[in-house]
Amino acid sequence: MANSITNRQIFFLLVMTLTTYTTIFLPKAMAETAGRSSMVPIMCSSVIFGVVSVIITKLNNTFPGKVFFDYSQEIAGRFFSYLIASYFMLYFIFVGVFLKLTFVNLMTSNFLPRTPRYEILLFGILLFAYAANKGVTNIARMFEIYGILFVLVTVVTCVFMLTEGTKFNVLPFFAPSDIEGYTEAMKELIVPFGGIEVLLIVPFTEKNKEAPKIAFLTLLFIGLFYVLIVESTIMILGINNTILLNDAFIEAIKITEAPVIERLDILYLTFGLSSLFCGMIIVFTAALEFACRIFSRVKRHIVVVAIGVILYILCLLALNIKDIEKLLEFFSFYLVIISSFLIPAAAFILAKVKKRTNIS
Amino acid sequence: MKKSGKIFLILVFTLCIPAFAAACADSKDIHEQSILMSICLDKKDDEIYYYAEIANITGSNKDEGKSSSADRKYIFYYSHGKTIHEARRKLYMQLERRAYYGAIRTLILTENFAKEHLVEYLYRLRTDELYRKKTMIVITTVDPEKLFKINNENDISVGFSIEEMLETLDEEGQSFTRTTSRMLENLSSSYTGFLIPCIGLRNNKNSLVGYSVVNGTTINGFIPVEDSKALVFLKTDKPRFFYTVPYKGNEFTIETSLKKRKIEPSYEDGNVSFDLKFDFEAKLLYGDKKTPYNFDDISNEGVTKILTEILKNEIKDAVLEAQKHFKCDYLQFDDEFRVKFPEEFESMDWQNEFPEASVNIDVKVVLSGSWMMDFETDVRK
Amino acid sequence: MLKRSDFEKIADSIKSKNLDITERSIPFHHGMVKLFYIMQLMDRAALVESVVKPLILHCSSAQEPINAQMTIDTIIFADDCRLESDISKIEEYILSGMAVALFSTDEEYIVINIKKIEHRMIPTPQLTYTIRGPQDCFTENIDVNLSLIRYRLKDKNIQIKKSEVGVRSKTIVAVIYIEDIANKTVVTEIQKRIESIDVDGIGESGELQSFLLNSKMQLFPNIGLIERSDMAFHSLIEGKVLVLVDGSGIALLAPKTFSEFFYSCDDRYDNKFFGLFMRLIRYAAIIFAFTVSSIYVAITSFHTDILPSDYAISLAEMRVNVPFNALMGALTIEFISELLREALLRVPKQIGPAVGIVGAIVIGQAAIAAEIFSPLLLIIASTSLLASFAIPDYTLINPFRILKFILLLFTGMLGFYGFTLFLTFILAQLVSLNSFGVPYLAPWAPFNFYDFKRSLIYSLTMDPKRPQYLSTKDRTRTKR
Repeated sequence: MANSITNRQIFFLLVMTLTTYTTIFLPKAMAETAGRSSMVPIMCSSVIFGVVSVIITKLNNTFPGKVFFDYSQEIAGRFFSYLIASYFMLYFIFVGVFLKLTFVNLMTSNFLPRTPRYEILLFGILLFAYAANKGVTNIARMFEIYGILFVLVTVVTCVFMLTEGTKFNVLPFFAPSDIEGYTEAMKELIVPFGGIEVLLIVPFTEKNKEAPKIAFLTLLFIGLFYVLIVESTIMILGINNTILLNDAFIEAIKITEAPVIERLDILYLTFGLSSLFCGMIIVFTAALEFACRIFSRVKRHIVVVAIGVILYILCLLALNIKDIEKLLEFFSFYLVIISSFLIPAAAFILAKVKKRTNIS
Repeated sequence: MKKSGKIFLILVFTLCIPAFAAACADSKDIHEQSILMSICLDKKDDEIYYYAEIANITGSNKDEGKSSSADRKYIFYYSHGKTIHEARRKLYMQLERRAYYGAIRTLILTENFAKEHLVEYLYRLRTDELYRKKTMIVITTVDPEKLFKINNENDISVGFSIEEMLETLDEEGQSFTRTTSRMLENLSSSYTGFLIPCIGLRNNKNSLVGYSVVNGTTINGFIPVEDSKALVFLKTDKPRFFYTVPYKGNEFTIETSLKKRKIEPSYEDGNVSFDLKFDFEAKLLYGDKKTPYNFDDISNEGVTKILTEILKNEIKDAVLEAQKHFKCDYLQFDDEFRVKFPEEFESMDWQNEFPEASVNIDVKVVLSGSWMMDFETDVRK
Repeated sequence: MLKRSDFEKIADSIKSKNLDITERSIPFHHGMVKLFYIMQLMDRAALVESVVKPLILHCSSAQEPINAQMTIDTIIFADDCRLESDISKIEEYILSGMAVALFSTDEEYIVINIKKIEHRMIPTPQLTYTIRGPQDCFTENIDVNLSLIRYRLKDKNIQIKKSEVGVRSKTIVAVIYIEDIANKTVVTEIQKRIESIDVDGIGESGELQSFLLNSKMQLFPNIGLIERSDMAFHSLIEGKVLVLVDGSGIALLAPKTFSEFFYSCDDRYDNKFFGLFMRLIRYAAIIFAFTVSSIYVAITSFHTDILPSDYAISLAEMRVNVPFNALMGALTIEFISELLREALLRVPKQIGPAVGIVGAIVIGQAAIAAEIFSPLLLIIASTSLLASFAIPDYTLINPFRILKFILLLFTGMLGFYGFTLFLTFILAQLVSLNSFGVPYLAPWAPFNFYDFKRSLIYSLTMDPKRPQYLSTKDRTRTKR
């Protein structure tokens, strides 16, 4: 079936969507709030978001062959369906701007300090538009390939970091004084775990019956992945350095050396770049899918171009605004709660109620 | 192809061409840059002196016998200014090509500089993207100009030489190094105290001469390398030294390596104490008199007892020196205490607690012959 | 019964067209039989022995007129002949190499197949050389090719569907598959595409291939080339569809996924672990051939930090007197490699070695001595060239040879960012391709463990099932 994906692809779709930027900025956030005891809030959050992913996948399974836009018309009526779709389109455009700005800043600080930002943006957006135009199925296949490479390289890098790091930096694993920071830590984890809502653009089939189980286990895996990244970063840098550095994970990799290749960060960033691209591609695709359904009479490639142009202009404007990332991060928190929790949960409850009403 | 597709492609190409043209901003071939191997900072007469050792890639294929600086493998430049930035800027004005910091092996600071600007420079390392993040930091007791001149005359890179020497000593269990990130972590913690290797010249060759003690944010002492065996036992994973033990007229040479080290902190009634337990493995190599030694169990016990005393005294002296003389926990006992008593550690002032902590040292030595040699038996007449 | 005037009219119309058609008239009792054929396409000895001589012998002694049916049944000795009555097709038959016998006393005529077209002996492989496998290859004659397939595959379910393509050339194209194995959708799709071809002539399988692609602008091949008959046999038995084109020594194979371009028959014939080793070498070879020049540019011009300091100094020393920057040097040396590759293809055999010497000494040695390129760049370019020859099916490396230059440009402008950007473009393109419904990157994406394992290490005893991504009717090859 067109636009359908396998369960394995669901795993990689979630991994690549959630972990792209989080890997770089999470260690600082965790070090600031939970200190050395980051494991606990991370795993708790992964369980909570695992439940969210089960809700979304079960919702998709209730309406096989349809995406959120299609079945929300059955649940909530045409008007609300268009409203929610518009919200999601704008939401994904917003997230796209946020991610692209972060991406451009990362490129400028680590790779290309003298290259004009508009240029980094331009080539990036061309790629994302091109890939998004290929559709969800093809993107999921791409994620399968990039996902395995990214996870492998990150795990190997973290293993190197663990062997070179100092154990005192991460000990004790659990300190009572860190407990008061757990609530704050879990609030910080809302944005890193946001992104499960991309499953709303994927139509499920009979092959995806196991998707809720897969999604839940994926979120647990992502939690463990985050723990590995945070602990290995703190092990190399120490808790205070991790708090002081924005892209602590990259800085930690720069200190780690492997045989032959002195700087692991270039190697990691090459594969990590592919994961950054994946995150932005899926966001672009999500915005595109919703936009195509809202403007169903307009040809797909015109919508692609329109979204690309809008994103580019918004990013260029945003680059000139001071502290724009903090502003976007502030709004992201609430938007993720609405998009990942509230809307899917409401839709799930409504769907169940309707199903019972229809049966009775 | 449809018309709209053609227009789109034309637009894309039109956008890409000027974008490509503007793109090469970050492209700079390696041979178009001055490759720095080491940097040395000194402070004299209220001015910062900035020394840079640069690889001479054009003149490295020299004939034997030529001694002009243009033909040497490494050349050093220096400049000075009121601040580090000013000194660096003046250095750039001397360079033919852009400076490349990614190959720097060692950062050398003189004691004068380190006393006032150590912290500033460590922070500069952290924030400056250009530096290689695993650069080694050392203190030098020698005038930098002399250090660079002597080394460069022999075509030795100071940066490479110091780094390789310290790494070799670390691998051999003769010394220890501390990474810059550990130093920065220390600086950011509530308590700061660590050691920095100190390099000097012996017979015109680079040599490790000792360790500078950093207490808080400044240097306040020096430990010569001859007195640093116990420090190595306390801070390295696989230290190994040779001891000469006198016993019944014979001077036995024993290879001693640390098998296990355990530092157990305890906290009772507001008193901090540490139990240090060391398990050494010793191998009897040879004596200075003719064999047979008839090295039986009683002899073994005797020599072991003497060696145990020697080791215990060395460790005890090292700890006492840290506590009483320098009043600085460069032995990193604070980490051990913090791991076990995190809450108590947060509420105490370690600077005052450490000198008062009681330390119990327990040393166990197991002496055996090396597997090749059997000193217990008689030789045939 | 054909009127004599019509009979003469037909004969005159054939002769008047200057088609180099030979006419042999044999009179019989109150009638005439005229034999039309093209001498160059005829087995003249067989024509005389099987047709002319028996006809003359009979006609000279017969007391009654003869007709076409009688002639087929009792007079001529040809094994492949049939009766036809459509007058409009006479010229077509003659031009396709048949002999046509027209009877003045009969509306029907005989079409006799005693073609003899000059063709080569069965050659040894030129494109897909093998150490251990059979050495017989296809030739330009479709009948010879069919005979090579038939003697290996004696299955009663084998289907050979012939059709003519090209209004003027009327090239015979044969679609071959095994009925109870091949995926019906694939077969139907291929046949549909062949039938929809509207062109005046097809000379070679490559021209037919361009009509079978998914899109006119497609760069990556989704159809394989088969030169050897044993490879054709293996492909058919796996469930694939083979297309033979008369006049071409290369057959087409569909569907073909990206990973299958790395398979060689030697992998089947040799030890399976050696086969695994060689496949891994080939995968590494294509990655190397495609990316190594760009990685060199990225490291030399953008990210020198990745190298240890001593390597950085040696690299700088090697490049210190080189006038070009890394990008220009890499582009130039890659261009020279392509020139060399193209020249070696076209050069006559007698001066081939000389070109090799020129390439090695002049370009290699002299360029380094003149400090135009650094030695490392030359090593990289030549190893990259060598690696590109490690792929068994050369059609896969062709798109990468083009894309390599674009990748170099991207990397030269934007470093590893540009490198990864362009690789992602290519990957996005590859994942969206399909070969007659089969995903192009199967079995990697969508991932299937059995097929993935099979793509690395293959043995008939270990892997009794056919590739699952082909969705064949019969899934297993053995009864186990």
